[in-house]
Amino acid sequence: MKKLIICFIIGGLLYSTFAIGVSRDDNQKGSRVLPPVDSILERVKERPSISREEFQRNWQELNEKKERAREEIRRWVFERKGEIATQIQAFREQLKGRLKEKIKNTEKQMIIERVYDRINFLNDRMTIHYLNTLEGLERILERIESRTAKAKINGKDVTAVENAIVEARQKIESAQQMVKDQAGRLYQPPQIESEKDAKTKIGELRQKVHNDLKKIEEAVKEARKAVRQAVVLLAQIHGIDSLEVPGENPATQSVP
Amino acid sequence: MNENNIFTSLSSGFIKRGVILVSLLGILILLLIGLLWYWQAQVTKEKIHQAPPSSSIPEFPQRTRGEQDSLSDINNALDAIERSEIDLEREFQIIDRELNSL
Repeated sequence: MKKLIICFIIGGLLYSTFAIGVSRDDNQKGSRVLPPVDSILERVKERPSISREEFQRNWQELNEKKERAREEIRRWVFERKGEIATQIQAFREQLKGRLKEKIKNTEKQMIIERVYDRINFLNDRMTIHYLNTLEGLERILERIESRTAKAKINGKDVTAVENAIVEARQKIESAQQMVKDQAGRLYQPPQIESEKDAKTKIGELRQKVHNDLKKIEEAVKEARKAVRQAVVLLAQIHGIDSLEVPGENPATQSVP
Repeated sequence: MNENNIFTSLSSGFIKRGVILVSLLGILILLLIGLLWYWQAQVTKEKIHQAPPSSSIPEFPQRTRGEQDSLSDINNALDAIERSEIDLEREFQIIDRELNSL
C-alpha cells in the first residue's frame, strides 16, 4: 500500500513538472506570434546609452523597413483592384443587358448604368484616399516616436506618450486592414426586375457602399485622433524640441 | 410674254438654288450639332467609366526626412492630412442627385 502511495506521489510530481514545462512552452510560442513592434523607441529601450551615429543608423534602417512594408500593402491593394476591375466590367455588361430587357426608358437605363459606375469609381477613389491618409499618419507617428526616443534618452518620462503611440499604431493597423478588405470588395449590380423597383434596388446598393466606406472613414478619423493625442502628450514634455541625442559635435551634425 | 417667261424661269431657278443652298447649310449645321453632341457624350462617358489615373493619386504625404521631427513639423503634417480629407457625404450627393432623377 505504501509503495502504491509513493508511486502515486512520484507520478503526480512528474506529471506536474511536465505540465508546467508544456504551458511555459505554449507561452513562449504565444509571444513569438505577437512580437513587440520594432520601433526606434524599442531599440532605445534596449540601449539607453545610444550614440548619435547608432541612433541615426537605427532610424534609417527602421525607416527603410517600414517603407518596404507600406509598399507591400500598396502593391497588394493595387493588385487586388486590378483583379476586380475585369469582374466589374463583366458586371457592367450584365447590368446593361438586364436593363435593356427590363426597362423601356433609355434615359432611365443610362442613369442606372451611370450610378453603378459612379459607385464603383467612388469606392476606388475613397479606398486609395484612405490608404494614402493612413500612410501619412504612419509616417507622422514615426516622427513622434523619434522625438519621444530623444526625450527618453535625455531622461524624460515618456510613459504617457509611449502608451498613446501604441494606441495610435493599433488604430492605424486596424484601419489599414479595413482598407485592404474594402479594396477586394466587389459590388454586384442590382437585380432589377422592373422600372418600379429600379430606384429602390440601386438605392440599396448605394446605401451598402456608403455604409462600408463610412466605417472606414470613422476608423481613419479615430486613427488620426489617436495620433493627435500622442502629439498633444508629446508637447507637454518640457523643452521637447530642444532634446537631441548627445553627440560629439552637435553643432555641425544634423540628427534625425 | 416671252420676257415674263424668262423672268419666271430665272427667278424659279434662283429660288431652287436658294432652297438647295439653305437646305444644304441646314444639313451641315445639323451634322455639326450631331457631331458635337456625340463627342460630348463620349467625353462624359469616358469620364464616368475611367478609373482615377494613377498620376491623379498622389502619394500623400510625401516622404519626410527623419530630422523633421520638431513639434511644428509634426503638427503641420497632421494639419495637412486633415485638410486633404475628402468629404464622403458630398461625394455621395452626386450619386443621390442622379438617383433622384430616376
